[in-house]
Amino acid sequence: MQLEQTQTTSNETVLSIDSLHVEYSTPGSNVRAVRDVSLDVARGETHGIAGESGSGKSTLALAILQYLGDNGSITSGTVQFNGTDLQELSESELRSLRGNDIAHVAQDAKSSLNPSLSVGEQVAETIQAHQDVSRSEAHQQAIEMLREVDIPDPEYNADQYPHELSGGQQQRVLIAMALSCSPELLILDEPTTGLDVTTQSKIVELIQDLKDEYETTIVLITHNLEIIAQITDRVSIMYAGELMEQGDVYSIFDDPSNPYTQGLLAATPEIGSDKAPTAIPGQIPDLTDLDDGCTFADRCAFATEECRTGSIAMETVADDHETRCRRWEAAVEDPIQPKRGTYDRASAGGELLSATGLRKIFDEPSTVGTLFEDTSFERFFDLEPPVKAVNDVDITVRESETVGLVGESGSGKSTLGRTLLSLLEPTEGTVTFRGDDVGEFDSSEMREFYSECQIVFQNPHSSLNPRKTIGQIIERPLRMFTDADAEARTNRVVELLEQVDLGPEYVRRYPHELSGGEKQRVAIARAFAPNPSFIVLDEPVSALDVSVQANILDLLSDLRAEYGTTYLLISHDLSVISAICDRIMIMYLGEIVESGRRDDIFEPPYHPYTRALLSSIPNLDPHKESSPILLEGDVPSMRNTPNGCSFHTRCPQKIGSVCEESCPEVEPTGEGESSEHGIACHLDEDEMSTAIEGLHNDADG
Amino acid sequence: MSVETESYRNPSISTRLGTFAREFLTNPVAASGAFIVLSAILVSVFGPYLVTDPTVTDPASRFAAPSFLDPSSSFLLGADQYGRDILARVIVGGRSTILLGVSASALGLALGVPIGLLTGYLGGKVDEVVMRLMDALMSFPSLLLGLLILTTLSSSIWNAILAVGIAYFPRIARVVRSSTISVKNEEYVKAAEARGESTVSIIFREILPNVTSAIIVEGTIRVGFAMLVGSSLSFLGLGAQPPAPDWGYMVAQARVTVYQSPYFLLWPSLALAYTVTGFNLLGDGLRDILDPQTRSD
Repeated sequence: MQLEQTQTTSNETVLSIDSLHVEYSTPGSNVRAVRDVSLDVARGETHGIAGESGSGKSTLALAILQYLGDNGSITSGTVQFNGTDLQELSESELRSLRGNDIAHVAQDAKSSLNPSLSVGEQVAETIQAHQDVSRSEAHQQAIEMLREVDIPDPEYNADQYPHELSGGQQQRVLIAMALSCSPELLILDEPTTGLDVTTQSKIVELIQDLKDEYETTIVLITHNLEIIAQITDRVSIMYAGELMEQGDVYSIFDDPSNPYTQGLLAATPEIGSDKAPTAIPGQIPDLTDLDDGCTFADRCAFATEECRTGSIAMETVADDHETRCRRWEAAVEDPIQPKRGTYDRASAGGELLSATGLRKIFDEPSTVGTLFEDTSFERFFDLEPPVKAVNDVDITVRESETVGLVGESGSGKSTLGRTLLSLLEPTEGTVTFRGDDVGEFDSSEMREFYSECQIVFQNPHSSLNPRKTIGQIIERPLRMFTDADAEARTNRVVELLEQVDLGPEYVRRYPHELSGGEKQRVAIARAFAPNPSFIVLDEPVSALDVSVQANILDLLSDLRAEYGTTYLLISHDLSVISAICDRIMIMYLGEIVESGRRDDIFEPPYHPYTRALLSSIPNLDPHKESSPILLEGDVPSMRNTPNGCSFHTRCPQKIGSVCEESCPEVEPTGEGESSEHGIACHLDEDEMSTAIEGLHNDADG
Repeated sequence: MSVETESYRNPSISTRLGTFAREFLTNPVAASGAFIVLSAILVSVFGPYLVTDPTVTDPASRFAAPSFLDPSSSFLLGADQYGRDILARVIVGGRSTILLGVSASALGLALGVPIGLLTGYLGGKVDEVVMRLMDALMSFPSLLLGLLILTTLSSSIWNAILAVGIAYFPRIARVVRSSTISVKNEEYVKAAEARGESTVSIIFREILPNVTSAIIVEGTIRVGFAMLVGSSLSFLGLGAQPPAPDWGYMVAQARVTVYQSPYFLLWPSLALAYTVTGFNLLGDGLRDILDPQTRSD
């Protein structure tokens, strides 16, 4: 597909941005969100803009549309579209341009759709705004557009409201809306963020199909370098409002010539490889108060004194390859390489925590409902069946090992984690800790259990009490679980902060003074405070930028090596799991469908769902085409899980009625019962053993 | 080290207060509200020492015709039909009205905050039952509820405070409950549950500090409303009792003679409007400053 894209690219420039500066005025200071960005996008090209949060990539998109809001303004530079300077246009000219010639798909699909209008109506509205058509014609066209973006049964779904569609379908509706007036330029802002990996691969496929069909020029904004590698022709890497590197996709990924690009690539985990994601130290500078010189200098391994003076200009590396770095030659000569070899692992000991036949059913009947337990009442009010979030799960975690629990949203993985920690009461089944049934614990044993088992949550911004200082936050568990006096506690707080690489000055700070990564460090320090033997890490890095993510993974692995702590790492991201886990369990609709040692999972035989997951992860190498297995439809509701094998409704390898009728047990693969690798599937092992094309593992050989 | 780090137990309150004061003074709504409230309180606290006894009648004017006096050098705002100095009565009357507003609001907070915190955090059946009771209380117009309580008890300023406090606490409970529900789903509350903290400790250590803004704002705005209801009760003869000067009671008296002397009606009404507006402005301003939802960060 790469070849096709390159062929459709012509030399005609559609969009031309010249030394653009954008500022937002906030009380007291001006945020210089975009500085000196120049880029040209040729007709038919797919231009990727990559960067972490705060890099100014979304602001750039809004600046192209001249849609910066009241406090944002273009302070200098020009944006030309087909030769017209967009700043010269009147508000009404801009209005007809937006949507008609340039379409923008904003970041969050859910909040971009009006919840009180049917999706068909919303698409039709866009068509009517720009074309002189009647209401019914517009509606017909809207249905056609929905068909184009592969919404199943468009006649029916056009009358649905946004909340009745899945996240992937909402994204499709937005794309339909953007394409409805056949724009020349389509700006997609993080089109796949927040979507599951199997849904993501379908959206990516859709974008590529549409591009071939409509020959639209696309500007694709994303933090996801793998998607950039797979579908763009040219790439701009942004950092702190500046363009760091620009060029065609192969030169950027093959010969990254900017230390930031190199760092980003080294920090991005890749599944099945022995690459240990390597963090970029430090954090993004404050855009209200910028020093002279390179914005990246403080985090850069190549920085010298000369990097901190004057302004840094773009330098040409090769034909169609520029970088904003004075030391790029040094960077090219000795590029930043990710660490190789997996993290240090302690060898696993005896059984620490296990669960058998665990079920968690959320049955949330209304209070009125409980008053009438008559079924006719339920039928009358159409009460929904209960949610089976965890369905008959067996799990064993051994001392000092790291178990990864992977699943897409709604697979019940967080519920399982919380049920194991007794934060939720299991509906059925037992959890044992060091051989004792947790359900039988009295209050003092429960206290002991809480001090041994901790949890780190996904969102660092909400996991720390905003009214407490960092010192108070970390001290609390010490106060609860140890007899240490005030001085000993204070010393321990400082020691814990040190272990998560934060200085003693942090004790007096409040959470809002910290960055996301720092907050997550504090949350980890708090979890380690009572010296626990088991920690559930619930999506610990998914809210963080990739360069910070690697940092936290490093930290977790260091702490594991030092304390021999056991982790249960819950994540939707197989590459993160693959980076630090010893054993992996794959969860689908509340059930474990496959489990085994790390390498078992990445090598055949595969459960059909695992196969789909693995194939959906785009390759970071633009030369290697990904060929994702596209699953049909969406994940069924947990209220109405399918009979038989829960995956049969979407399984590309479904055998027949046996899948619909009987639920497969987890059975060991390979030689005999001793194998740790188990798959719950009716297929023969041979049928599950085909290798996945393009998976990093076998491609590397 | 210990000197430096020890102080995190008592976080530098002065700097936080400093930021708060700066934001407060630069917020026109909050600053003007604070000015009005402060001036009303100062006048009603110290004013009475500067004016004549508001219950003293001037026999000469009482029996003269007309019995009211228009503003003059001896009665700056005029005198009522008994020849009492209206300025003195307005100033002294502020005491009971503001006292009623503040005390009733405080009583409402004392009842409403714990109920809101508990029902919000515990949820489930407790929440369902208690909040339906609150709904039932709220479905009475607050004035009617106040009347009901005051006629059952006897008419006095203290019973009026009790009546208004009871009429308003379900509203406060509801506001606190909704803030509590949004805070209880934050992960730091989940983290506290995960280390086995007790319910009391979670409510007071984790939740309460994060709903104080809502409580302060609600409490301030309620003072204004409580003053209005209290004055209405006095107007109806159920609050402050004659001859005590009270704004609501003064308006009731002036109603009869409004055609003879409009000033008598004007001054207490203006004073009431001024003070209530002040509390409302202060509450709105505090909401802007304290409520994180309306703020960009």
